[in-house]
Amino acid sequence: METLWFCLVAIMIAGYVVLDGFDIGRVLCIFSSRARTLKNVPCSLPSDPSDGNEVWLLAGGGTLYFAFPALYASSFSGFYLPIMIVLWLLIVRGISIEFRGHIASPVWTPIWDAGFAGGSLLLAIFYGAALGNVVRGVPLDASGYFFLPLWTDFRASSSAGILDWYTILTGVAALLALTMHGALWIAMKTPAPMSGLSALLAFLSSCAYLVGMLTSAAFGVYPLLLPASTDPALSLTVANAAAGSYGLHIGLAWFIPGMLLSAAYATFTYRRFFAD
Amino acid sequence: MNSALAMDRLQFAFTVTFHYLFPQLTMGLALLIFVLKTMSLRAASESLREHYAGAARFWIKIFAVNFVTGVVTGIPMEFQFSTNWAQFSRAAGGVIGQPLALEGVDSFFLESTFLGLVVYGEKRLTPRLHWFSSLALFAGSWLSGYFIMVTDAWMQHPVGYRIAPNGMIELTSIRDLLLNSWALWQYMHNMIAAVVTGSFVVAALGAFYVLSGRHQGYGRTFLRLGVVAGTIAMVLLILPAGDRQGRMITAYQPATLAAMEGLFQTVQGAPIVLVGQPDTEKLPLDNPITVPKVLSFLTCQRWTAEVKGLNEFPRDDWPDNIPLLYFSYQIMVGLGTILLAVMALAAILLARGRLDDSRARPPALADIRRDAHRGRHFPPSLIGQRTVHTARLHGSLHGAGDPVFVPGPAGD
Repeated sequence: METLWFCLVAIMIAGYVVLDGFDIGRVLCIFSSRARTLKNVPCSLPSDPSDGNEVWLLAGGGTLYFAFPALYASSFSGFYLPIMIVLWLLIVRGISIEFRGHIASPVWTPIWDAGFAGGSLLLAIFYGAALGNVVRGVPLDASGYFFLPLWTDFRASSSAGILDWYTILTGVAALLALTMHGALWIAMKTPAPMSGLSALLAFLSSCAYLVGMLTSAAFGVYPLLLPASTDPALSLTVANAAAGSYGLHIGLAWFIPGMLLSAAYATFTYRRFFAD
Repeated sequence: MNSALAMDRLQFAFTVTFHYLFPQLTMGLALLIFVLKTMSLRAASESLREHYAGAARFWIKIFAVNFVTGVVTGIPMEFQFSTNWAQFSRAAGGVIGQPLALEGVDSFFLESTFLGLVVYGEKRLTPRLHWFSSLALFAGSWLSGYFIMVTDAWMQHPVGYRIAPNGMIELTSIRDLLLNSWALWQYMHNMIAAVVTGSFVVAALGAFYVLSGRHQGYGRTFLRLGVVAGTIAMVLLILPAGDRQGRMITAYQPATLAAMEGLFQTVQGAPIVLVGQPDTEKLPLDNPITVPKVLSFLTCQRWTAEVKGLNEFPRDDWPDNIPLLYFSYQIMVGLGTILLAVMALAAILLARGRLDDSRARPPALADIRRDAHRGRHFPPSLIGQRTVHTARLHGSLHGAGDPVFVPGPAGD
């Protein structure tokens, strides 16, 4: 049961990365002047359900909370500063999309474009850095909590902070992957010059790539959830961080219908809006 | 109170308060937009159909901006449960994680999908489908509200759980969790309050348009809709919703009741305080103006009932910050009374057909819109209470001195 929820949470997080990923990635293409002439690059298309992608973050976070409360508590409180930074970046991105279109002014629009682009860039790096930290392990103590400074001297030594050259590198890797993903999404949406089918295949391959990388990272650490760099016995595992058995069982009762329904209306919306 | 705890509380309180301003309006507007769409669908003439559709279109734009701001401020909320209250999340996550995840998976997907259809889909959908989308949006947002209320209701009145051998709290009955009696009344009170907020905003804007002479047709529609919905909502907010919530607090959280009513000593035939400042050092209220026996009647339905004062409870069980709780509550009640009076007056004028002409009422409605939002500041003071109450839950189960609730980023 714990393993099942581990898979479900991994899928939700991977789903979020694939969906918000092209949103994060495509806006970075704004820096290319040729890309800017393509109609899909501006941040807020009227028919753009980018808010829908954040739903996956909320749902994924909530699912993680109830299935593995000890992991949720330890990791989020230990990664307090990066989490706050990520939250601010999400806020900036969200309001940039929304406010951008409300005043037609040569000063207003670029400010929100810059906010969206800058926020997306840093967000990609922070997500990657988070993954790097989780895989490497954190100094969990006996009570199950840890503290790390945001950075120390950027060397990947035993006294490394959350940001050092290694985790920043994983962040840059994430940035590159998401930018490629975003670019492929634009290529898929733009009629020329790539033909429809090859653009679609390229984008789907990128989705598969992201899902594959993330799930293999997840299964690489399985059954650990958050490895401890102090003493392996203190690691948070699928077994010791999970919620009670009744909770995990009953969770399936609303999770499965909920996800099926969500997929159903997402498909319905997509058909109505993007079939052209 | 050490400074880490104070900082955690301040940050969490700020996030809740700021976030909550937006869903409050979202949920209220969702209902009113649905009403406008229904009126449009059922309109007798083409021009009326277009008039109501136009009114709905206007409020949908405002709804969309408001919704997005609610989302971006709501994501920090979800994460701050564990960044700020890590020990609590670890212990209780198995229980409260369920309704929070339920909200994310079952209702948030619903409302955000249909939001897209409502905002962008008018031209691509039939009127009936667009109307249905507004219904789904309303249902999704109110369902979200329910799951969030269930979470808070469990913190106020824990049900359906057991303490596992490893100290974590485990859910034993999802039915008990979702049908928590506290949740039902809190939900009703909360949603009706959202309708009040929405009504006041709609009425205020309508009043503005009528007074300024622009878009008078729409202005009159907004004014009517806002006043009718607002009057019904204000009445229901107090009776039965507010009344029932008060009775639940009396039954399950008597110390909170005593603190918020400023009742330091147990009394038979307890008075209700209209004005007064609690002094926790010297105990009696300073400068009180009271109405005798009313509190006994409201809480126990008998004029001579005994109401427990704070003296009945050990000092450790007293709410942390009595003046904050007391003043938040009293201000809420005061604002509620004012809001009710304004709406009632507006309703009378409307019934007499003189609302549009009255210059006094509409400006008052515009000012009141701000105050309707301020009335919502009551919940944050309950957050201070949560630590007390859930700590008491743990205290009674683990024994005093159990250092469960010393929240802080690193669990210090």
